[in-house]
Amino acid sequence: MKKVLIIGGGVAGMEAAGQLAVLGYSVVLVERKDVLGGHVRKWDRLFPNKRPSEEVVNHLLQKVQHPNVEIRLKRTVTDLRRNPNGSFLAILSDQSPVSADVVLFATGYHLFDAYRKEEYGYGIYNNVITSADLERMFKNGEVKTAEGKIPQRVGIVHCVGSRDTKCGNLYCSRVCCVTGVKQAIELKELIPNVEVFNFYMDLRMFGRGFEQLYLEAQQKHRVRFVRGRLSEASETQDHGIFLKVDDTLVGRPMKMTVDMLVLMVGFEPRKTTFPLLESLGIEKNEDGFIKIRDCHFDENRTNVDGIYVAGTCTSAKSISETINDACSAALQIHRNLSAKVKDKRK
Amino acid sequence: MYKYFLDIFPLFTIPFNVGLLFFICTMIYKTLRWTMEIEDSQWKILKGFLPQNIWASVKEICRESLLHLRIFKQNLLLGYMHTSLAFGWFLLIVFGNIEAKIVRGGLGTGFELPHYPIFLKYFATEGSHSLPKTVIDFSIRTGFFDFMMDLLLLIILSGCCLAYLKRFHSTTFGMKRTTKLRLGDKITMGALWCIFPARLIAESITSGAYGTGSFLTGTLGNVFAQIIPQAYLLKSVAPFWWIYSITLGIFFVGVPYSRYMHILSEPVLIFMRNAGVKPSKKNSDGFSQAEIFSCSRCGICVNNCQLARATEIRSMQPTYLNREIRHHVPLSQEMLRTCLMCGRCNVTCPVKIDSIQTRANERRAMWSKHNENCFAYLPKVLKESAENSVDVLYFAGCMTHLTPVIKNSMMKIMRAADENFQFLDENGTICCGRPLKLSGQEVEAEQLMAANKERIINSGAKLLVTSCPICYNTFKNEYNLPIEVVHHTEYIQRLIAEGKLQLTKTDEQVAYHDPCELARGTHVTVAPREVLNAIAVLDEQAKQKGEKTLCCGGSLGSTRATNEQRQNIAKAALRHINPDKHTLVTACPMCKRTFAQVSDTKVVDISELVAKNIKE
Ligand code: SF4
Ligand code: SF4
Ligand code: SF4
Repeated sequence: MKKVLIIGGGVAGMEAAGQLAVLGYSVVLVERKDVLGGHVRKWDRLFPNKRPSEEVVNHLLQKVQHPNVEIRLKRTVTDLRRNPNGSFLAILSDQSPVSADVVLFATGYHLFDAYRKEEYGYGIYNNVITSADLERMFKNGEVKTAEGKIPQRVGIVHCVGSRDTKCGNLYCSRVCCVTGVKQAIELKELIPNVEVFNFYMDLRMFGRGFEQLYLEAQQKHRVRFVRGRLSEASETQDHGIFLKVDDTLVGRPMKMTVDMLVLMVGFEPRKTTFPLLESLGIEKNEDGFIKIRDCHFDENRTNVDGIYVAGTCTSAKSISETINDACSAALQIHRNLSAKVKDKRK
Repeated sequence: MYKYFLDIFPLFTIPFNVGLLFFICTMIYKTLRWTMEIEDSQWKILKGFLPQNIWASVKEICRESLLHLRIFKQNLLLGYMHTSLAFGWFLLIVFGNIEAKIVRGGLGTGFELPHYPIFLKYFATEGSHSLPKTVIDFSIRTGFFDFMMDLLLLIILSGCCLAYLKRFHSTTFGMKRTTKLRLGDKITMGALWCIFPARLIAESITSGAYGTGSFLTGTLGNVFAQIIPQAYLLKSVAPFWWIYSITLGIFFVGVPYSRYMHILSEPVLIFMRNAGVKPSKKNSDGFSQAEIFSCSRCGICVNNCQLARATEIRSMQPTYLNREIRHHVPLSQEMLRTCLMCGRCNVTCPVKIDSIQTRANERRAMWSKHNENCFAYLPKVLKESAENSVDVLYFAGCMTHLTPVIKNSMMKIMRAADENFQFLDENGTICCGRPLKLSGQEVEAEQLMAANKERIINSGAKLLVTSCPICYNTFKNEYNLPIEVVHHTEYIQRLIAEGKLQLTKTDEQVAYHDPCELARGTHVTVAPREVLNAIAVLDEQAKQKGEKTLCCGGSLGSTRATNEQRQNIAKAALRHINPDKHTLVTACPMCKRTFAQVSDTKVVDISELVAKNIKE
């Protein structure tokens, strides 16, 4: 039986493992954490239909419950080498060797470290949090300021660490717009009289159901969308956050104080994988995400034969897109591995 | 009569003599012209003739125009190249003159024509009948002078070889690329390159023909004598003296049209500087002109410019700026606006040319229109009442407002020290004016500065503390404030010394980066280190520190450097400053922001570290 090593047990890794197992491959799934699931575990409910994230995780967990899938938790790949016959030998952090015919990188992304956008005061002002922090609060069922008060006015800042040359990230992170809308609605549902302001450059509601969510936020929940970039945030005496924003639609500077400021942090490449990528000569794009062979016809292969990619290690993706990408990677692997078998028969 | 003339002025010396005359006339003309065009005060130049200033000038001219000590400090090989050519040639002339004097029969024979010592070998062999019978006669016969002249020639030739090598293979000198040339440069350089080999051959052939010369020309002459029949040898003496004379002539005529103009300008510049002449705000000023002409295009500035090292921008450094201005080439936007104005070129320039000033002048000249009412709204927004008397005024500045942890730390520190202070720009800051100044918008900057100045004076404080070195430099050196201005590193140092601030020493290892505006711009380098030593363990590995410190790349001086280029500069600087990956400490909000984007380790402002280690 042909063997596939999958690095990363998040959405992409699990989906691909499930698909490949059904196609009759022996899969080793390596995950650095002690549970599978990746970032999605940290999320409370998902756009566009507010489905609890557990549903997605459980669905994927069922898929990897397959005799062909061997799961190795709390391990990372420390060394990966190509054998003379073209197959691979990986050494895991527990020194155990894993050999494989092909390797699939499903190493995912890193959330932008909001501290790097220091002018927004994350890590400095008590009540500046990230979208991920807010999800944690939703999970716990209550949203409170650091002082334990229920916020009456919340600001949501889009594109933090994305589309920002100063941070060196030119790309759009794709999911934060709709997350901002989703979180605004959730805040409104949780705290009846809360005022919510979303500060955006433009709203990218491309996916199925996104636009409806945006309309719902405006019409039903009266979320205020302000186009303009936050220029400065400072803390007031009672730990509110004083904001200066240029409202570019009205063409006027705007000042307000909010009780809580939520930063929609974007995707960044996972730097910890760089040494592994470099040791194999796998090319990255300028932005640091892994380079795919062709943006239309070959999205799951890297420049190195036998090394495949799936999910957000190549670019920002939503969960639906990640699952699609993982399926397509599995199919691509299947096609190439079975072609090799046929070649040999000839 | 004609015969007598030819005796003194053999035809072949004409190219040399014409060249020299042209050279001397240019020198006089340029010196007079620059002096007339000094904007500062022409009469200041007279101060240059005070004995102590003359002495200083002579000393500096010897050290820099002849010995090139500053180049030596930068790069040994390059220093040797310059010194061997300049000082070697100088000594050759001196020895030639002494020898000529002796050959002519000792002192008291009056004025020597300039070409005589230059072509001494020719004259000495032709007219060897007049050898004197003094003690010095002995030294000639023992060949002391011949030996010295040969030695000097050898040294100069070695310098020439290095020059060829540098032109074709600059990496030998550890330099990335040598500067590009214009036509005048090429011709003059070609002549310079030929002068000494021509002299070598001319002297050797003469030596071979007449059996004179020391270890170099004598030996080579013998070789020639061996392989070339005597009759031909005698005939080929003249042509080579011609070549030597012509190359010299071309060189002298070429000097004013080439970068070798620096030979002539640098002594004038040194003299002006020692006379106390200050650069003006226009590049047409005589002093600035002397600076621009004094650039030897040695390329040291290109080599030290981080834009050249970390990005591939190698066309806007002072060497090119000076060249374009000198030859009246219209300056491109790239030339004007890419420079970070970090000033590293200034401190490494062996001629001490203030290229930052030169470029700032050009930037200023670009704005033909100014907006006099740009900030007319300021008085309206600054209605707040003058604060009741405080001792200390804290000014965060725009950059610190973008790095709020610094202002928070400063608040904590000032409260812990129980200072009576006011946070001047707590609710919104007015820019200190520096970015506008850097871009050349002087008139607009003045409006901001006036508003700030009024606010500061109205507060009645005695001390102004800033967190941003850019503001600091501006307040301190451009505002003429009646109160003292300090940077927060100095202020914290003072609080510690006065016992107002009690800190705990930790064993955290940190690396410190000298912000360029602070270390180079305002020479604050001791205070931050003292403060750091009080709270942490300072591990300094950067060789380029103090006034030679690197720029983080974030500089406001450049409006054209891309983000990627800036990050490359920051990354390269980090490798140099913090190779062991400690926490990186800086004292500038701009450095902090720039480095934080690319650093693997934490980047903090010195105030953060201090605030963290206040004894409770
Ligand atoms: S998805 Fe929206 S918030 Fe996120 S980076 Fe793109 S435009 Fe900005
Ligand atoms: S500006 Fe100074 S360092 Fe640069 S080439 Fe001229 S003399 Fe050399
Ligand atoms: S000021 Fe800095 S950036 Fe500009 S030329 Fe000099 S060294 Fe280069």
